[in-house]
Amino acid sequence: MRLLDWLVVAGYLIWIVVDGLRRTKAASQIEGYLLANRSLPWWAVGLSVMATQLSAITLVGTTGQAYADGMRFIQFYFGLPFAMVILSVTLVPFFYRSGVYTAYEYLERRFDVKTRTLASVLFLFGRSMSTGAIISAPAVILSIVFHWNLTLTILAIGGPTILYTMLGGVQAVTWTDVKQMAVVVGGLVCAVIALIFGLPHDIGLGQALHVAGAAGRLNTIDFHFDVRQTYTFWSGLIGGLFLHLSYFGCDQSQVQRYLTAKSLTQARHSLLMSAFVKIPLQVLVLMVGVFMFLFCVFNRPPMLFNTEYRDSVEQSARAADYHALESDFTRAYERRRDAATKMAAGADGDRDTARDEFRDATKAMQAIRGRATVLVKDVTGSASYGDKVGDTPKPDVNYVFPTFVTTRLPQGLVGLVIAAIFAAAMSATAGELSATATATVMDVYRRLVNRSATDAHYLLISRLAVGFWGIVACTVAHVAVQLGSLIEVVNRIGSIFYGSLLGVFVLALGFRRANGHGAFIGLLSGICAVVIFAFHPATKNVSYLWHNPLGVGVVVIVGMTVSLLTSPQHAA
Amino acid sequence: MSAQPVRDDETPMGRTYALVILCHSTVIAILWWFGRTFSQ
Repeated sequence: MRLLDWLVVAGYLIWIVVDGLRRTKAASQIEGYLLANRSLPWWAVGLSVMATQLSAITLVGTTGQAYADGMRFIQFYFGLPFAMVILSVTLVPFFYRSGVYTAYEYLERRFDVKTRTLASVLFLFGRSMSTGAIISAPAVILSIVFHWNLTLTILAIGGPTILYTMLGGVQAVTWTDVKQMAVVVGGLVCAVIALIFGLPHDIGLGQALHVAGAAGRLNTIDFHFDVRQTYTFWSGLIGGLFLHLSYFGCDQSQVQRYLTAKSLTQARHSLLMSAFVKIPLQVLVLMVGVFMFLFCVFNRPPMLFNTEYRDSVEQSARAADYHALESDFTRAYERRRDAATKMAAGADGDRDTARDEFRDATKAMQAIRGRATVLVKDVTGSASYGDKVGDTPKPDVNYVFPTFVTTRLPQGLVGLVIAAIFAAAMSATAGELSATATATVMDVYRRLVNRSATDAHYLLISRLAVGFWGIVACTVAHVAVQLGSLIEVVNRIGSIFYGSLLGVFVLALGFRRANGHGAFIGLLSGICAVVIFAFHPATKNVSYLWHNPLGVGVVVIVGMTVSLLTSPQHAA
Repeated sequence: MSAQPVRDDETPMGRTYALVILCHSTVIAILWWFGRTFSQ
C-alpha cells in the first residue's frame, strides 16, 4: 500500500468514527440507545439489515468462491425473498406491535421466562463466537497479504467499531451502516470496472464471458436435487428459505434493525428491500470473482495465492520441486491463454476446437495446482490444505481477491477496496455488538438481575455490555487464529441453533395449544437432533441448509407432544 | 417495562408482496438464461 491508499483507509476510518460519535446525543435514553426511538426511515434500516449480513468474509470469500467455482453460489439466496414476504406477514407485526426490545422477550409473553432465557443465551453464545470470526477472518487475510501485525489489524477493525457502537448505540450503527454499504458497493463497482479494463483490448465483453462460461464459471442454476449439495436450486430455495426465516426472524441482530423503523409498514419495507436488492448485490460480488478469473486467463495468476504457505515451501528442502511445478504451471497457463484468445476471436469451427484446447489446458493447470497442494501439505503439515473449492485449494480462496487488489489495482483504488473490506467487517460487527448488548441487558440483566433500576442505569449497563462483547469478540478473533479449525466447529454449532429457534417461534404463532414446557423441551430436543444429524457419520454430508427444516420439524413435533401431555394452563 | 407504543399503520401490502415474487422469478429466469447462453 502506498501513501494515497493509506490516506483513503485513514480517511474512511475517521469519517465513520466521527459520524458514529455524532449520534451520541440521540442515545441519551435506553429506548433511543437500543431502538433509536423507533424513528428511522425504511431505506436506512434496509441498508443496515444488508450491511449486518454482509461481512468482510462474505465479500472476500464469495469473490474467491466465484473465481474458483463460478456463480452457482447465488442459489444460496433463492429462498430469501420468500422468507422476507413470510416474515413481513407473520413475525414482523407481532414483534413490532408488542413493543419488545428483543425477539426473545416475545417468547416470555407467549410461553415463559425459561424459554426466553434459553433462546437468548443460545443467541448470545452463537453470536459472541461468530463476531470473533467476523473480525478474525479479514484481519488474518490482511495481515498476511500486507505483512501487518495481526493484533493491530484486529484492533483497527474492532477498536473504532466498539467506540462508536458503545457511545452512539443503534442510531450510530444504522447510519454508519448506510455509509459503509456505500463504501462496499463503490469498492466493488470500481473493482469490476478495473477488471473489465484489464482485459485485452481486442477481446469484447461478450467474448470474454463466453470464455468464463467455457470454464463453468457462469453456471448459475443447478436443478439437480441432492441434499449433500449446498449450491443447488432446491437447497437454496427450500433450505435457504428456512435459513433466512431463522436469521431474519429469530436472530436479534436482524430483528433489532427493523424494530428501529418509524412504523410497521416501514419495518416491512426495510425487510423487503433485501428481497429486491440482495440477489443483484450478490451478483455484483460474484461478478468480481468471475472477472478476476477472466483477468487471470489473460494474465498469469499465482500458482498458489496464500503467500504464507507459498513462502514455507520455497524456504524448505522441496523448493526445487515447487519451482519445477511453477514452470509446468506457466506452460499450461500460456496454452490456456492462447486457446482463450483463439476462442474469443475464432469462427464457429475454430471456436469449438479452441474451447476443447482451453478446457484441456484448464484441467492441466488444475492438476499442477493439485500437485502443488500435496507439496504444501507435505511441507507444512496443514491437514485442511487438501480440501478444494472448485479447482482452488480451500485455504487459497480467501486470498484471491486481496492478491488481485494489491497487485493489479491502481493507487487510491487499493485503499478504497481495503476500506470496503474494513467497512464490511465493521458494519457486521457493530450490528452484532449492539444486538448482543441488547439481549444481555433486556433478557438477562433487567429480567433476571435488576428489574427496577433507572433508565440511566440500564443505559450505562448497555454501554458496558457493548464494550464487554467487543472485548470478547476481539479476544475470540485473536484466539481463533490459534484454534484454526476448532473455531469452524464452534461456528457450525452456532448455526445449528437457527432452525430450532425458528421452530419455537412457529410453535408460538402457529399452535395455540403449545405451552412453555413444550416450547422449552422442544427447543432442547431440536438442538440435540440437529447436533446428532450434523455430526453423525451417516448424515454429516448433508448440507447444513437442511438442518434448519429439520430443527423446525423436531421442535414443533416434540413441543406439541409435550404440550398435549402437560397442563394447558401454561398456554397463553 | 416495554418500549413506547408503536405507530401501527396497516397499509395494504399485497401488491408489494406480489411484486417481490414477480421480480424474484424474473431474476431467476434471467440468471438461468445468462448462465445457459454464455456456458454453451
